[in-house]
Order: sequence, then C-alpha cells, then structure tokens
Amino acid sequence: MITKDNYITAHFIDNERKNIEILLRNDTGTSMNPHIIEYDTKHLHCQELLKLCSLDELHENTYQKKKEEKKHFEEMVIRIARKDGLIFDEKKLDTKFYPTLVKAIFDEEDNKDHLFALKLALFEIEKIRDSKDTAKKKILRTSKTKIEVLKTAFEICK
Amino acid sequence: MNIVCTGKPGDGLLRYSYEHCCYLNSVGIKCQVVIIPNPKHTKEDYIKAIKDQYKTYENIVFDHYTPTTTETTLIMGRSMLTLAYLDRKEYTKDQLLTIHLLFSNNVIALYAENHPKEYPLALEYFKTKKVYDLCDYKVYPNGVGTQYEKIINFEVYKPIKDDIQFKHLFLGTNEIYYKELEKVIDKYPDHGIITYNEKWINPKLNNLFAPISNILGKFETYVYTKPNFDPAPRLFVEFKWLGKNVEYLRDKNIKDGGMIYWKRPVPTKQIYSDNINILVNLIKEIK
Repeated sequence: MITKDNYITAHFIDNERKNIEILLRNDTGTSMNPHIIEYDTKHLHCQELLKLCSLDELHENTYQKKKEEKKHFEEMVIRIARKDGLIFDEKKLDTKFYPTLVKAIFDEEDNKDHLFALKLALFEIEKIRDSKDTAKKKILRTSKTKIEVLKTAFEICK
Repeated sequence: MNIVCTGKPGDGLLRYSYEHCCYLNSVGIKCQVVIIPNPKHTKEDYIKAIKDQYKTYENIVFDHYTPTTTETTLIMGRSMLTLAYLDRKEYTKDQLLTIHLLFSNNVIALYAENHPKEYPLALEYFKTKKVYDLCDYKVYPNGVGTQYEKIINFEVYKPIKDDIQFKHLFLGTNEIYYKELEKVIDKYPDHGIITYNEKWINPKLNNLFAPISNILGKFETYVYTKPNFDPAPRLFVEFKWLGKNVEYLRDKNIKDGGMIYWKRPVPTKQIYSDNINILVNLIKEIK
C-alpha cells in the first residue's frame, strides 16, 4: 500500500515510460525499499501513487534522476581517467604530465594545429605578448616547428 | 587601439571602421584598422575600396598583427566578432592567431542583433577579457551599453567628381537585396546595380561590381529598397549630404535604422565630434 506516510519519491525506469520505481519507507522508518510497478492507471498501486505524485511530477522526477545519474557517471569517468593518467588536472600538475609534454613537443614537430595551439598559449603569457622585442615575437609567430617556437619563447623570457 | 574588420569590402562597417580610425588618430589616439579579409575577397578589394573613397590610405594592416595585452580592440558591430568565429575554419593559422590575440583583449563593441545565438559563443571561444558595449538605442531599443550613434565622417572623403552615368542607383550586394530591387527595376530603365559577381544576379540588368570608383558621382538618385533590417544606412545619408535625390522605396513601418537615419540631420563636424567623444572618453577610461 502506498500512502503519504511511506512514500518518498518515484520515477520511470525505462525509456518507454511504462514502469515506475517507487521508494518507500519501511514501517519503522529506518530503511528505504524500492518497489516497482507498471504504469497502469487501472491498477490500485498506480492509482495510489498518482494521488501522491502527478504524471507531470513523475516525468520531472525522471528527468532530474537521469540528470543526476549522468553527472555522477561523468564525475566517475573523470576520476578514473585522472587516476590512470589519461587526463590532467590543469590546476595541479604532477609528474605524470611530463612524458606527455615531451611527446607533445617532439612528436609531429610541424603539426599545424599543434603549432597554432602552442603559439596561442605562449602569446597568452603577458611577458611574451607585451615584450618590446618585436623581432623575436615575429620569429615566434612565423616559426615552423614547435622546438623553434619554444626556443624563441625562452629567449623572449630570458 | 585596433579596429577589427572581418566583413566584406563593400560593407558599411569597413567604412565606419576606417573613418573612426582617421578621427581617433587625428585626436592623438594611436589607432589602426586590422582587416582579416573575408575568405571570398582579397586584400586588393579592401585597398581599392578605401583608396577610392578616402583622401588617405593609412594605418591599415592585413592578417598579421600581435597586439600587447594593454591594447583595446574596437568593433563597429558585434558581427565582426561573430563572423570571425563562424569563419574560423576558413582562415589561415596566422589570421586566426591575430584574431585570437585581438579578441582576447578588452573589446569595445557596438551593439547589434545579427547573431544573437552565436555572439555569446564567439565571446566564449575568444575568451574576451571584458566587453564595453555601445548602442544606438533608437535603432536597438532593447540593446545594452552607452548611447552611441554610427555617424559618417565626411571630413575624410575624397571630393566627389560629378560624372553622372546612370540616373538611378540600387544596392544589390546580397541575394535578399537583389531579389527586392528586381521587383521594381523595370520602372527604372536607366539604372545601375551595385552588386557582386554571384550566381543570383540577373545578367540582363545593369550590374556594377563592387568596389566602384567615385560611386557617389555616377548617379543622380539613390533608390533605397533594402527589405530587411538596416541598422546604420550610409548610401542615402551620403546622397543627402551631396544634395542628391533619394527615393525611400521600402516599407516605412520597418523599425530599424532606415527611418531613424532618414529623420536625422545630415551630420556636421560638430555632430560628429559630439558623438565620437563618447567613444574617446570610454577609451581614456579603459586606459
């Protein structure tokens, strides 16, 4: 029996929106039990539920639940990827970062997209962007390899 | 100060950009126009457009420029930033670097509503430091920023040589304008249509491909037919300034710069400087 005393929340559990999971308190109120019913307005349980939670609210609960699950899933993926060194925390560089840095510099030396991203990142450094050494800045802009770009950037920063 | 232009050589915004550049330099604010040519046009198209119309050709750079972080970028319409974002895949890496560096600085932007969805995306993409908005509230009642009008700087115009070749001038620089003028063109047999050599033009009509030298001297009357939103019309203001005829052949109920500029006085030196001083003060404030 679903009553306002034991009802906690409910949402659809399938894409077709035919089945509903209802969370109910036990008699002592110390634990929570899932209870699955079919969305069938002729069925007593469904009728009891709809008195406590309208169809609109059921859809809204389902949307919120999915959103939350997606967020948890993404956070978990990021946690695992970070742990395995597949992605880096921009704010907290660690030793695992350096092999990737070296690979990024020495592999595909003249990759145009990499070269562009490197130049842009370097020009975001005020010391480089605001340097009075326009000749060196020009060399940095026109450099054709990542090593040449970095060499010039280091010279500007000297 | 860098005024960025990513529009086409026939656009009003290129002209407003150059005129602003001339004025700001004349009052001691070091300024240049940085043009990133539209992928369908060449540098030469822009050079010709400026040289044909103005007494001077100076303080213009193309494609390559590395601004310091303290330089401010001015755009005469938000679309200059949005177009750069939309065209980003067609630019060279060097052009793209220039645009990134210019638009990541402080930007003064004249309000417009051409790309309401894409403009915020463009700002996010370029990581613009801060935007200072200017807005002509008569044209954009729901805009944002300090009141500012786009006014033509006639002081920098070359003298117009009277060399009438056609009676009626029409503007057909895009397909929409062109389709609209085609509805009435048969009533104006002695016409010239400013356009581009595109597939949507009618070769039977008298098409003149932009840029055109001494355009204002070649026609007697301008027939204003633009069917869609026109924020800051130039041609009819120029014709009025020269004391020439203008036919307002469009729906007078369109709420845009058309009727607003129609009712405004022909700009004098005083009107021009009173208005642009708003910008000058803002530039000083930012510094």
